[in-house]
Amino acid sequence: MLTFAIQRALTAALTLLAASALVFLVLEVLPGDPALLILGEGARPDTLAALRQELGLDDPAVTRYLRWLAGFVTGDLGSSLTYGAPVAELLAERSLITLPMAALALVLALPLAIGLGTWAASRRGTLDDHLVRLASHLGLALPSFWIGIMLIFLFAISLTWTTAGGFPGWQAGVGPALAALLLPALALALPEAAIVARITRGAVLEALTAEFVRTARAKGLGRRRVLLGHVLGHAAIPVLTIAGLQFGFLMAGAILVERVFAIGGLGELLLNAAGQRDLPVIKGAVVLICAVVVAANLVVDLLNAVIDPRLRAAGPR
Amino acid sequence: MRLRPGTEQLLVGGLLIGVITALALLAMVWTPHDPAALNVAGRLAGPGIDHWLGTDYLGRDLASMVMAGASSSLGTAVAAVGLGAVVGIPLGLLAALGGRIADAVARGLIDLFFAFPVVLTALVLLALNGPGLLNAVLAIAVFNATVFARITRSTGRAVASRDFVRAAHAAGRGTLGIAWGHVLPNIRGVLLVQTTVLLSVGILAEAGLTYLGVGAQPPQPTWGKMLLDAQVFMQLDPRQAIVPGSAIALSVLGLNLLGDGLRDRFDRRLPAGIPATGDPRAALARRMPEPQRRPAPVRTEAR
Repeated sequence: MLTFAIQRALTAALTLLAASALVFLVLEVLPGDPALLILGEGARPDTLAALRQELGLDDPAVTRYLRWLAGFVTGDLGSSLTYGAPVAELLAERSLITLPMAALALVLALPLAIGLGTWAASRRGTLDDHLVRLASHLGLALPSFWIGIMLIFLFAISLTWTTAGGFPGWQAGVGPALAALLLPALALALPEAAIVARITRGAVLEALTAEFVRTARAKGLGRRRVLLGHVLGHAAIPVLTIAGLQFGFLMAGAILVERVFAIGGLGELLLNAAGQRDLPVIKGAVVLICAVVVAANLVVDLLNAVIDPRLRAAGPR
Repeated sequence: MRLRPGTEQLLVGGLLIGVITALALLAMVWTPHDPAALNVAGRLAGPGIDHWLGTDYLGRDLASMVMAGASSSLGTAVAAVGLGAVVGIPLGLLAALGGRIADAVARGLIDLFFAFPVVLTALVLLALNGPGLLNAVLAIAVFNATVFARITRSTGRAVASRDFVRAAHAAGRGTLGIAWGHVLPNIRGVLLVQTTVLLSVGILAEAGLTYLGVGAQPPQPTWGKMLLDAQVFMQLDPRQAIVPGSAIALSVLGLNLLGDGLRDRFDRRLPAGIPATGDPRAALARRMPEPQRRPAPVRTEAR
């Protein structure tokens, strides 16, 4: 298991390293002169020179890349061109909004989806099953940011239970902060739940046909014990795998949902930076989001290997 | 009479997509009104004979805007799938047939690009090129190429290990000939299903990107931009958000149904309910046979 874990962690680290190189290449090397990209064609030569100086653009690309990479360890990723604040500080501050929101979305989505999917599978062909499948089809078809807009209409405008967005900051207390993240997380969670519920239903139906289920039933175990003790463990791997794969979509969805609710997270930071061509912030935020996606996939791989030892022997692929 | 598996989904999905495609094509030559024509006096009007779905906050005809938005949405999704297939499928075939080094390189590339969600790629392109339709197409195409490469590699490898491919190889057929003559015809069902899945992903992505202002720019109406405008006028008129939202949902639903139906027909390897993400790590998930198609002995017990 340890060998497998190390092997997977190394692959993930290599992927992330390659991603950082790609981001650097695309943003700093291919455009020729990043200072010109930031300031535009009409910039004065002395302004360009000053910006080159500030960003250290006069050094060779390899030196700049290595310096930037070292910045992820030392915490010095340069300063934002629009905010003036250190990039590392901005990223840390905004991550503390986006990551809890994504985590909250998973906490909302997974129990709901696994519960509904299992329930639908165990009552296959009944009206309940059809309703779950219909709901999951709808959930798959609706974009998370549209759900966000409708949630604002329902809870903020019609019922006036909550404000239409914004984030008070964690210093306002955990309760109000979590309350502000609840609707965005719900908007992210519903499409996620639709997918996971579909996978769970399929996986549980499949596991129900396995020989060991028949054996367990023949031994006299009740349906509920078999479902909880035997079937769910077996169905966990496809469910986990898809949930992990979906994490990338969740992070992408977060950028959109943050815009809807204006909670000022990592996605909004990146969106504004991209509009302003704030290269230091863009580079940092993109690599950070990639790291979250890669890490989520790594965790899923390792969890799968813990659940099913066969996967360890098979190696990474 | 028993219908062949997937017939109902194929019919409903095909009908939905047929109608939406027809409207998108029609919108390129005719819409009931000019979707960009302003009429501030008649803004936020309800549905009526003149404006079938009503008007937006500038008095533009919502039905015409939804139709023109369909052109942008489907056009982007189709172009991105086409580009993705042209790059991804050959890359996947190369990985499956080209030996260990080619496979390792292709796998590394696939892993690398899977770390970039569509929106992330699009925002990097936004910083480089400024806003525009091409960014949306390219960003979605990069994702599609990764998925196509992944699924072509994993299914292609399975085909390549079969006897008839070995026989063709022994008979002196080149790698290119084997790829074209033996592997591709055997995985085209999988690729077809994948195409519908990626079209629906593309429609969702286009809506998201135009909502962020990354994709097609005004005056071209897009479903995402309509939703962005609608959000401002939510309090006055929630219908503004429901119209484009329904257009997105119906398109995606139609494609998903079509994909499920095609999967039942052509790709027994992928059970309904497993989104074909093309990830070999989902191999365990996909290896499951379709539970409904089995003479499952447990069914009687389960009742």
